[in-house]
Amino acid sequence: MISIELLLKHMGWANQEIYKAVQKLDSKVLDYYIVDPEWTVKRILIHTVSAAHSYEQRLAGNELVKLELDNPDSPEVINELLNNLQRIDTDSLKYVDMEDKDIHYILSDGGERTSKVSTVLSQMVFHSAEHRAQIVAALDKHGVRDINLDDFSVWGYTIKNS
Amino acid sequence: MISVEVLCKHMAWANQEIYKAVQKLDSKVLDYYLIDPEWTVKNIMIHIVGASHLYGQRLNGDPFSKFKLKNPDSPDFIDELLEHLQRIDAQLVKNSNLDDGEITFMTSKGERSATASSILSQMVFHSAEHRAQIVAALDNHGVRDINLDDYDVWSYIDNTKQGD
Repeated sequence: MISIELLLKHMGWANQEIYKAVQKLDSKVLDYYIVDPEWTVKRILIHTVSAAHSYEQRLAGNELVKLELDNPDSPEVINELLNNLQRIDTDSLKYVDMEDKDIHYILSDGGERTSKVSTVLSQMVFHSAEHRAQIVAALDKHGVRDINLDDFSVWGYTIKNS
Repeated sequence: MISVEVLCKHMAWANQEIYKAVQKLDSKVLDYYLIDPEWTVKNIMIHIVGASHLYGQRLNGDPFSKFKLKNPDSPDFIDELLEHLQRIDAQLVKNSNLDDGEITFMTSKGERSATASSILSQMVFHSAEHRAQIVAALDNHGVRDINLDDYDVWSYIDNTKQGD
């Protein structure tokens, strides 16, 4: 059986690399968006981490506590997000060798849901990959072509970490 | 151990759903792109399947053969892509139960090797990333018919009644 471990390690690496790459750009890029002004680069950066935080809480069996940021309105927010990603993505690896059991949790709207560990980990991997692509798409749209997603593929991860 | 099986099954489902959703739109959307005219919606759709074809060959131990479409210039090419995806992704799901190990394969640049886990993981990641780019290109032209939230892992579980 092929483990999800490599995709989780790749996610942890790609999150760090892409957030750091965005951090090197002019802070005005944080306000860029593709078509919906609600979904700026900054908002997607925060949303990706916030969702990962809630997924990890479910896996840990913790009560839902929303991710709070000290400086959400400052470009410094990226440092905070990087620290949170480091914690969450490292913790996610703890669940790789678990039995694929059901976990019960409370949703942000107060509802309840039961999911398998594999579902939560899979959503965590998928969700961050999709949103990293959207971040780069929003930058591309504004002619900021500094980040090439091909450099952050699974091949990229295995070459850099072999 | 938590396997990649859910992600493989989700990929197969999301590929089918999003390609069918694009197929329902006006065919002019196939020429839409975000910023690079080389990367139209159509070219990204073909690229995903072409890459998956190669990754699948490597996992299956099949000899190298280039991916070719019978009707690349017809709007019917999406039907062809859907059939290829069905074939490739079904095999991929089976391959998620392989033992991990080094696989040697031929590429256009000569012999290479990679672990089964890295090929499978790249395949899942590659299609997810490019599906997002397809929708970004559509969004950029004001075509908001496809909401990516409807194609996440939660939706896969809910829509296919996987007993989550």
